[in-house]
Amino acid sequence: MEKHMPNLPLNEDALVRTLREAETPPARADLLELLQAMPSYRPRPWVWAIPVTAATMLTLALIPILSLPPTLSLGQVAQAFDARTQYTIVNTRLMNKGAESVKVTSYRDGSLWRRGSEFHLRDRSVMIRFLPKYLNYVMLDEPEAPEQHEFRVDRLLRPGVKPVFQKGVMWKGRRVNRFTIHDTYRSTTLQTFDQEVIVDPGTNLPIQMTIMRDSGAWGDVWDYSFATPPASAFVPRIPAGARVYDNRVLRRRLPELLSESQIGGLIVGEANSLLLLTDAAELPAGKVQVSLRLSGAEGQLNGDFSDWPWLSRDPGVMRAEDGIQINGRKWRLARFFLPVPDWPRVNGLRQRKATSGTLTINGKPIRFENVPIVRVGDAMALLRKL
Amino acid sequence: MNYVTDQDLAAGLVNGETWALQMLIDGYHRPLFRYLWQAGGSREDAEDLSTQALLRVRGDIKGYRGGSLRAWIFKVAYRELLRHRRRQALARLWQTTPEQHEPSTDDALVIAEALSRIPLEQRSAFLLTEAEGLSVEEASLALGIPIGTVKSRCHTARQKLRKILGPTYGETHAEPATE
Repeated sequence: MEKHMPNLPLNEDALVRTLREAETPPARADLLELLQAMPSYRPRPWVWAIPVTAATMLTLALIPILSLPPTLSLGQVAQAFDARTQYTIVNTRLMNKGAESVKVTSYRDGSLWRRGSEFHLRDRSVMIRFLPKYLNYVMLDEPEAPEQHEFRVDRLLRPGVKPVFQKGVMWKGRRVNRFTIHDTYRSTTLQTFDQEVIVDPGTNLPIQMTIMRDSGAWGDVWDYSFATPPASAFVPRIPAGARVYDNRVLRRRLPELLSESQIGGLIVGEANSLLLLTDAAELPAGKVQVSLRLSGAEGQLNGDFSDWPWLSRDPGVMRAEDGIQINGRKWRLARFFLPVPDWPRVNGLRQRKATSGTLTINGKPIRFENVPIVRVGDAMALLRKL
Repeated sequence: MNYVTDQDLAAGLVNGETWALQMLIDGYHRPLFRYLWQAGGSREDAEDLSTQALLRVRGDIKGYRGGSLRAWIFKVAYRELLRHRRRQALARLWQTTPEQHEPSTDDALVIAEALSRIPLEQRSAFLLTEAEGLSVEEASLALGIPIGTVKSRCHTARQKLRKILGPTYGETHAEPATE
């Protein structure tokens, strides 16, 4: 077929005219009849409203469901735990990204409880701590109520942090409920806090809880068992020849043991911490590096004024300690560290009643003379209850 | 002079009065057919669609809320065309052989072919305002788009038509369809 070559001049008028004059067929003969037969109905907007309303209602119904807390909350798990007075908890502290670990087993049977080598008896409280290789001492202290700090939601969850709840997940061959919590906190750098709580769906009791801090560098795993612990678990094992420190007496005497000078005293513990009490200096903000040279100790000891984990109000948040009050006077606490192999470096201090030396805070030295030494089992345990 | 307003005609259609139905056929069948043919690209489909559009006008006339009845009727036709194209698109999913188009033998068909190479939205805006003589406001109502969009679509359609039809007119470019 020959290609059609219209002779229209290319202008819009001609094009529009052609469009308007396009040949159109007549309407079908029966169109009028069709139109007459066609009912004129009122449009029913509500017909369209049905799916819209249904979708809206569904959405409105889903919003509260989706925003509802999970069917189980950590608070309910804690409540179920609190109702139990018989259990065994194995706490495994993971260090060096899990390369090293230390296990501490806690037992409770009613008012009897034991945490590792701390025994809390009915008539008095006796804490016995010893690491057979290094330490051999006993501390006596005030009675304490069984502390269920292994599962305290107020310490586990920072306000505003919501756990993710998963129901009926498979875990070690059984179906459990699981909470996972991811949080961040600032230590020297931004760190992550990751927590997992495995819960028995039948009893709402925890089966296992894992908390990893400092972006997984260290953390704890708690394994829970709710069987009655054996009676033998509550028999104190006091090591032969252990030194005995009565914290009740030491606390009472502490004000008179400290001097009135700028450097109030040196508290020498059996553990790897030495605490120097001072309100000597206005400390700069942030982490403060301090060093100490003492008569009776070999070489320089390094420490800081921060990171007092037991004073953390919220989990995963390390707060610098403001100090403690003793007889109305405020004391700053400087903690000094020694690795275990270096402990003999401070052995000389244990034989003394006072020491002299130089405390250096961010390069600024403070000289002190004849500062009293207070010997304790665990300086932190002593000061914590002040 | 007995002048029938849009409201009079609409009232007559609501009541199914013969004079109104006849006026609807006489006044709108041809424009609707023309628009549906040129916009849709198929004469056969346009015959069916124009009838369907008029039946829908009759059925939905109670939904007319005043204003330009012409714009409202073209709106009904445009929706009818969109529905038809959706059905066609579905049908194409099952089509195994490509559609064959008859070579054009008529000026109007040549232009319709050129129109078919521009998107329906632009084509409709152009046809309603240029061929059917709707005002920009009426086309805006009919197509459910802002007035500015009608203008820009008309402008684009005009440019594309110039390009497609070209200075030699018969030698249309092998420009790919944009739809």
